[in-house]
Amino acid sequence: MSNRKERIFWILYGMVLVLLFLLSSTDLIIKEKETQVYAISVIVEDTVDDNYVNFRKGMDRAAIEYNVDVSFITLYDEGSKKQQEELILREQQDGSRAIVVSPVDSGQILQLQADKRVSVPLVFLNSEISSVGDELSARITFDYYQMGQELAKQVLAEQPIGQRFYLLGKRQSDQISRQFEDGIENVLTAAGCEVIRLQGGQADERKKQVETVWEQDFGRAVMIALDPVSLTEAAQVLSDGERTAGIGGLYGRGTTVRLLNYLDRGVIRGLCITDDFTAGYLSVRTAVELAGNQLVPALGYLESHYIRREDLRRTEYEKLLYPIE
Amino acid sequence: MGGRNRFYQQLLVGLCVLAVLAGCGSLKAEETKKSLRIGVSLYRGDDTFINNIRGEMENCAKEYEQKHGIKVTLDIQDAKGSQNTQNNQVERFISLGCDVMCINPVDRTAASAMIDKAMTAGIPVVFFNRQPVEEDMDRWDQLYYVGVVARESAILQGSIVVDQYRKDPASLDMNGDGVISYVMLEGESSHQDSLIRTEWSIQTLKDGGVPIEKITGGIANWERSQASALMEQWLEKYPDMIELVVCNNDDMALGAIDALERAGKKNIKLVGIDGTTPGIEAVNAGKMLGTVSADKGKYAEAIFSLAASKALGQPVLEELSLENGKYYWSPQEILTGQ
Repeated sequence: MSNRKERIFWILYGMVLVLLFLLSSTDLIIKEKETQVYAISVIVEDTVDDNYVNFRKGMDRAAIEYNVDVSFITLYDEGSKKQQEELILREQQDGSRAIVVSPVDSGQILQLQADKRVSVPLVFLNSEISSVGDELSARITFDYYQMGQELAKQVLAEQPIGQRFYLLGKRQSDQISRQFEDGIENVLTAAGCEVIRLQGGQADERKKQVETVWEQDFGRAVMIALDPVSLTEAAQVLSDGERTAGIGGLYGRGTTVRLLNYLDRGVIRGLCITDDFTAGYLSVRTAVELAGNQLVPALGYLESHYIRREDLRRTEYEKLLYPIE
Repeated sequence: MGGRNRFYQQLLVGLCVLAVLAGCGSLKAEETKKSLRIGVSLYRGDDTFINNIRGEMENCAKEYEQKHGIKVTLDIQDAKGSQNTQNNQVERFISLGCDVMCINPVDRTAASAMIDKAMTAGIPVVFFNRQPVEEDMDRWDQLYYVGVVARESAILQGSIVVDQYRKDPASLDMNGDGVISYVMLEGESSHQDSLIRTEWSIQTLKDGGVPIEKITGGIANWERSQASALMEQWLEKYPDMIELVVCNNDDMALGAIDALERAGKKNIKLVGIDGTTPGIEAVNAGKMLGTVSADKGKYAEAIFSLAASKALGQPVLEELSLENGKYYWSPQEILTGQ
């Protein structure tokens, strides 16, 4: 009798062990919740990511929070529409659930959507497009026109009357730089200032232009760079041999560490900065929402500021310029 | 009985054929691989030299994509000086299905945990810039290291000063006392290159017949800001005594230059190592006597080509000529303003 009880006990004991094993080590009884990983691609208009450092930090933050596998892609050649189109199509084919794109030519990408060649949702970065707000596209951008106006107002307030204003930029400027330029020109010409536009195809040509202006218009020239690359080049030229004293001031936009160092050293007098961390975070979050078929409300413009050297150590700007992931 | 034996023989042959075909199938799968995923973890993303290498690796990836038509995803992460963060990044790379990992370890003595994870997942690892200890490197035949020979960097750095002294002793011995008084800015004490660079650069000066005297030295952890702060203190403490600043890397030399510019000192000579972009600019501008430049293109190319061949299951390129089958030493050269 006791033998039988013992056998039943051991069988039950064995069954409990098996049950515990199934509960703890397999998902036969308790199904583990499957985590959805979104593959999202970010394709920018540049060949390097120098101007996307804080953006990438925000992007990585959102990638962790929303379980996203993000691919950050730069172009092989600067400003190549064809390459950007090919990369968008490649990423779509490789299974991206949504694509964040800083367009070389937004019209071309909208056309891809219209032709149904691109069916995944697109988040347009730094692009003025009107046909957003549907379930297939959204926009994350700053108001570069207003930024240009703000910069020009600050420059006018800082500079004495009679200065000559030089706008420095690339020969083939992008959409953002054109908006920024329009904003600056609008204010400066309304104030009756003399504005001269200088444009160069290569870095050496642009640097030479800065040197020439410095020599020929010593003490009177105020230089405003329309893009971060031109600003870095100009700052590089003017920082050599203490040339900064020979100009009214150098201004521009950008948030790279190099530019901030030039601002700190007094080579750049005023800088328009953008909240790139938030832009990166929102881009990925918006892409996830669109990939999940959610309708994304229009976000409006993100914040930008004009800062001088003394503002660099203010807490609110420190947080914005040196974000901790 | 004979019929049954023949049946078993045929079955065995059939199984062998199937096994061979299966093997061919997997080979074909390797051949047709159309994308590579490489996880890259940097000890600190704000280190200028590491940032230069990262940029070069991105260029290598783009060139490779264009040349071979194989998509390359470089998943680059910054460990921000935390080994714990780097361990988590390695786990993430594995969970995302990376084909290979390129790791610039935060702590060269703590690589074993990452190696354990990589071995379990069967993912090859290319370490770079900070050499894991030999015992760790010998644990698996899928571990590689790319770096520079620290002793060579130091000897080349020392020879910049020796050459300058032979050419124009007065340019270094500014007070004319027959002795070059120097200060030393060192990298992290836990980094193998820091100790070797410090020792051999000074040894080269002595061997080259340069009369030297050390005023002081300090650890600035490879960082420009820390070096700048140290140099500022030394300039106050030892006014008009410092004639030479020997730095374990360019970032610290640039920090010392910042301090010298603030103090309005112009003639003190500085030497660095790495050949970073701002370092080379400082040499060209005459702010630094010289630097030792690792060929960053070849350095990054070695990391990338090792990673790509391992990811595709191909043998490592012969031209890399690895020492002991796992170490690649990048070439270096002297850069001076002349």
